[in-house]
Amino acid sequence: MPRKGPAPKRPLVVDPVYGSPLVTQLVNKILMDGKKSIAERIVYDALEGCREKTGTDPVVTLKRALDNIRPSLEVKSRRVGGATYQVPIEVKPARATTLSLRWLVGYSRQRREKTMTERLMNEILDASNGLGAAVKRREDTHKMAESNKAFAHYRW
Amino acid sequence: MADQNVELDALETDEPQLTEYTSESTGPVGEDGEVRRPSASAPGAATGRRKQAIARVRIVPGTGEWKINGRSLEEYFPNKVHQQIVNEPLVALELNGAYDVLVRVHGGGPSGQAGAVRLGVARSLNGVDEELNRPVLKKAGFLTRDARVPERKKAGLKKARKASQFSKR
Repeated sequence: MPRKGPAPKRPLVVDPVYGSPLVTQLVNKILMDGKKSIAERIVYDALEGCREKTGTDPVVTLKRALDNIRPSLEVKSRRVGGATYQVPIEVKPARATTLSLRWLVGYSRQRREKTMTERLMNEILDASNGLGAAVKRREDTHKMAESNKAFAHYRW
Repeated sequence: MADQNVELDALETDEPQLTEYTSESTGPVGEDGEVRRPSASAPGAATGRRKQAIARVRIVPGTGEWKINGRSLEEYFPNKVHQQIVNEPLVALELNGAYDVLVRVHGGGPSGQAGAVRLGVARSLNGVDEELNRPVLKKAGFLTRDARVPERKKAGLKKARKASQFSKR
């Protein structure tokens, strides 16, 4: 931590098409090698594809998808007297959003569709219906937290 | 040593005692105590720079029309992000559409040019009515020249920081 206390949170600029900071964050997660316009093209095309398939506002679809991926508990390693325990802790809202976007993008990249646009679109649609690898990842995380519940008193 | 201390004391007492440090002033209040709203009154002009780009900006009260190097905003900045960046100072002051903006911009790439235009627009708005516009623009950081530029390449290194792999033997 810096000596002058924690760094202040800098608010994200809203994206120019949908006016949502969530979309900006998604673009930044898709971003590779500093190629921002490619990242933007992927995200906006995928969201437009979502609009076509569902007929609703894609930002609403994205939000619903993220709500299905968002974890509430995760485990963190902690050493107590030589042994390392997996201690379940609650996830703060900002971290939960970041994690869900990370998983969404990460598991999109592992899909078999031809283009990243299709992969992202289908992963968002799957997640908004409670399917898909990203949602499974949340279940796994929760399962881990559940099975290590006994160490919850090591919370710090 | 002794006279040095005396000098220091003199310096300290000369300064007015500040309890708080801020470069921002509070919003201006009109004669009848009512807060004045920003409005498009007078034309203004300023220069904005970012990275390698230099923008000469002129704002005239009008209908919100853009002219950048003889082309419209959508034509010159097809990227929505750049359009938003350029518009930010006007949006912050709720003067969107109250000014026609004429721009000559050269040097740099699209992103740098958009940033330069934003600084130019913000500075001209600041010049038009400093009392009213400055606090808002200053707070949003639109009056700050973005001084970030690529770091120079160093001799003996591949790029600014990248070094060739270290081999012990």
